[in-house]
This record gives sequence, C-alpha cells and structure tokens, in this order.
Amino acid sequence: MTHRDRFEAVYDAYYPAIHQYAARRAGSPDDTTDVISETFLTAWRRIGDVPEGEEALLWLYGVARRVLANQRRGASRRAVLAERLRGELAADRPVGPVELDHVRAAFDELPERDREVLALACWEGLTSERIARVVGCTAIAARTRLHRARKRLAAALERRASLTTVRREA
Amino acid sequence: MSDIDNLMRAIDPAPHAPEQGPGARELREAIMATRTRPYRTAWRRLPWWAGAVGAVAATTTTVVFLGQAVPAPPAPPRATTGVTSLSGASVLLAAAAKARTAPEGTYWRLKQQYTMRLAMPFGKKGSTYRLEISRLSETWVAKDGRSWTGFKELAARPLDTGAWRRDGSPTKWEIGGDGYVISASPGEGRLTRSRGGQRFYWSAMPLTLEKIEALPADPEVLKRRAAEAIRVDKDFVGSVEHGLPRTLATLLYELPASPQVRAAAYQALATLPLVRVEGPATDSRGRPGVAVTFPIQEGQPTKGRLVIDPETSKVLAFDVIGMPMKGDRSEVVLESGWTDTRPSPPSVD
Repeated sequence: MTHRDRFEAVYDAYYPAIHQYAARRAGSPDDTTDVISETFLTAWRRIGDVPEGEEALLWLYGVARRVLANQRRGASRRAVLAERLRGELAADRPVGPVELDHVRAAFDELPERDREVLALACWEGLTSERIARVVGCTAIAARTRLHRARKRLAAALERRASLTTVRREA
Repeated sequence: MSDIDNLMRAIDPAPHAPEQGPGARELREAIMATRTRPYRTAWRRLPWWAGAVGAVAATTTTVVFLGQAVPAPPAPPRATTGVTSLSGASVLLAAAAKARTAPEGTYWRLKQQYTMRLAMPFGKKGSTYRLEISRLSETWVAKDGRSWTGFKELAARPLDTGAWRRDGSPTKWEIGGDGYVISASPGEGRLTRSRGGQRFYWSAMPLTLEKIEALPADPEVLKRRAAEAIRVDKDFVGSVEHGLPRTLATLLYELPASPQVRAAAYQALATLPLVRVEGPATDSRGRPGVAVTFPIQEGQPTKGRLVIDPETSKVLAFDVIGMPMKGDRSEVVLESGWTDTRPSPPSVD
C-alpha cells in the first residue's frame, strides 16, 4: 500500500468522525474547517506514524485536540486547502433550537478538563481506556477524571434547578 | 448508562455524522497535492507566467482567470422570441426544452474549476499583493458504479504584477512557515480510482445511479420526491419550501439525472415562487447566461445563484452568495453530463 492509498483509506474512514469532533468543539464553521484540514494535513505529513486499524482514529483525535488548543496556527493555510469546505460549512444549516439550554449552560460552566472527558465519553462514545490514549494520561486517571466530571455536572444541574425554583418562588 | 450521560448525548452539538461532500473530497486531494514532509530548497526562479502562459501558448487553450479583462463572446440570441424582458418561467422552460435532448454516454462526468483570491497579503511592507489560486476537480462515474476523482492545482497568479516585481518576482510562495507552498506553475493532473464506487446524495437521501435515473420526469411528482429527500435530513430546520430550489438544482448539474429528469427539474423550478430569474449574467470565465437565485434556508441571508445557459440547458456556475468574502471566490462548471470520453487526469481545455 502506497502512502497515497493509506492516506485515502484513513481519510475516507475517519473523515465523518473528525468532522463531528471538530464541529462539536469549534466556535464557528471557520474553526471547524481549520481543525479538519490541519488534522488531516498532519496525518498526510506523518502518514508513516498513523497507527493501523481503529487506533488511527484515536491518533487523529489526539492531533485534532492539539490543533484546537493551538487554533490560530494554520489559519492562513486553511484558507488555501479547505476554502471550498469552508464555504459549504458556512452555508450549512445551524443546529435547531434545543429544549435543553439549562444542560448546555451547566456543561459550559464546567472546567475544560471536565468538559473534555465528558464529551469524549458521551459524544465520541469512547471508553476511559481510549480517552486516556487521546488525552495522554493513564486509564485510571481518565476513569477518575470522568467520574468527577459526571459528579460536577450533576451538581451544576442541581444548582441551576434550585436557582430556578427560588426565582419562581420570589 | 447514567442519566448524566443521556443528558450529555441530548446536547451533542453535532449528532449526525456528515458525509464527504465535494468540499471534503477536494480537501483530501488538495492535501495530497502537498508534499508529505516539510522541505526547504532553493526555488528555481522562473517568471510566474512561464508555466501558465507557456502551456496556453503550446496548446492554444485559454486559462481564463477571475478578474482578468475577458472580452465576453457575443451573447447568442435568446429563445424568448423577441421578448426583451426575461420572464422567469419562460427562461427556465426554454432550458427545460433543451434539457430533453441532452446526449447520453458511457460515463457521467462533472468537471469544476474553483478560483479564489487569498485574503493574506504577500510581498514587501508598503507594497503588498494578493494571490489568486485555482484548481480543477473532476468526478467520473461509469454505469457499473466504478468512479474516479481528478484533481489539478492550476497556476497561482499575483493580482498586482508591479508589487510582485518589487517583491523580486517570486514563483513560489510559502505560507504557514512549515513548507506549504503555492506555485506559479500548474501542478500535475491526477486521476484516482475511488474504492467502493461512488455514493450519490440527493439532499440527505442516498441514491444509486439506477435510482437517480429512475426519478420521475413529472415536475409535480419530482417536487414531492425532492421534499421527501429534504425530510430525510434530520438536521434540516425551516420550511421544506426553502430547501426545494437547491435540491432541484442539484439535478441540473451535480447528479447524473436523465435528460427527462433534468427537464422536469427546470420545469419544477419555474413553478417555485422563491426562485428568481435575475436576468442576463456572465460567469467568472465570461461565458454568458442567465442568473437564477433562490434562498437556501429559511431565515439565512445566504442565497444560491445559478448561471444557466438556456440555449443548451447547461449550468455554467453555481455560487453561494451573501457570505463574507463575497466576490472573492467562484466556482464554474466546465463539464456536466454523460460522455463517451474515457476518464483521464484533469487538464485545462
């Protein structure tokens, strides 16, 4: 298998997952495009390092995560590589109104460390072993972080619920 | 699974996995057109036009760039029998009549040229210029489902040659600081056989080649089928009426619809109150046609704009307008239809 075949296979297999990962975390269609293109550009340049099988997806999540943390880096290059995709995403439909604004708000007020593991567990559907590989910690640490994050989200939700009750009573 | 996890899943901002659209496929090709490793070499100094214009002279083809003064060929007489003001429906119905006679062939072929002007400045402080880049992308699909993707990076060109000369007349521009390079020479045309064949989507509805060919040739039935295709899209918000024009328009050039279905799509568009025929227009290559605009989604400022040639029923260009950077990009359709020509790497002709 040539580098080209390998990259095409990786891209085609994991494009939807990386697109979703980016769209869930990026603040705008531009940022989503940026994360997608930088992640796959890195994969192309380091195609020899991309692990086989489903491990490749965890590797890509790890790259996308670093791109997100350092987002402005590739902005100019993105403009060249992914301009058409950028146009598509900008013209794309927004997500419909959600009745769960209080959950979204409670989630948003959590520290980034908590949000990251919760999102990887519930949106990407990763086990704590796999989360550990994406964020670069031990499986035990990931499990602990996830456990605490769930508790803090539950507490934040309760706090919001009681605030609403107080306001209604007042 | 805990309640917390269920709530988390309920607020997933992107719950549905997207399919690879044209933008995603083009990104894949654009990435593979770059080098696998960062590298630094002394660039051969060639005038930027050595590649582009040399090729043009040799093959008598014309690479027409956005914004260049292109004398538009005289507009052919319109089929609107002496009526000077263009009636929207009549233009679309004229196109519908032509669509019925479109030729058949062995391969479905879609060839598009995408041109954009980069926002970032190059050159020396106080004397900067912008670059315009273009690329060709092509899709070929055989009746048995085999498919090929073509890609070719065209020569980039500076928009201000004076500032470019003051910059030392470079023919390569590195951006991003890690070896990514834009070149004033065209890249090689590549043709890649797609594994697993081609998947077509009509709105969000997956369709095989056979199913696309079997779409109804009655405009009213076709509209109902288009509405069904839109409703398959779980993320769609707003009224289906706002989704209809674009969904019908994809049958005109993006999907391998039969001549009868293309004709029906034009007829269906003529009945939609949201579709506006704006009047005579040229695409970015200077080809004359008629501009047709429509909303893409209820409550969104962006609009779709088709430039069609009613004489041949061909779609010359499709653009999304009303976005930031409007006017800095253009997408033209160079080929769309059935052909007996065999798949080959894209070239400028």
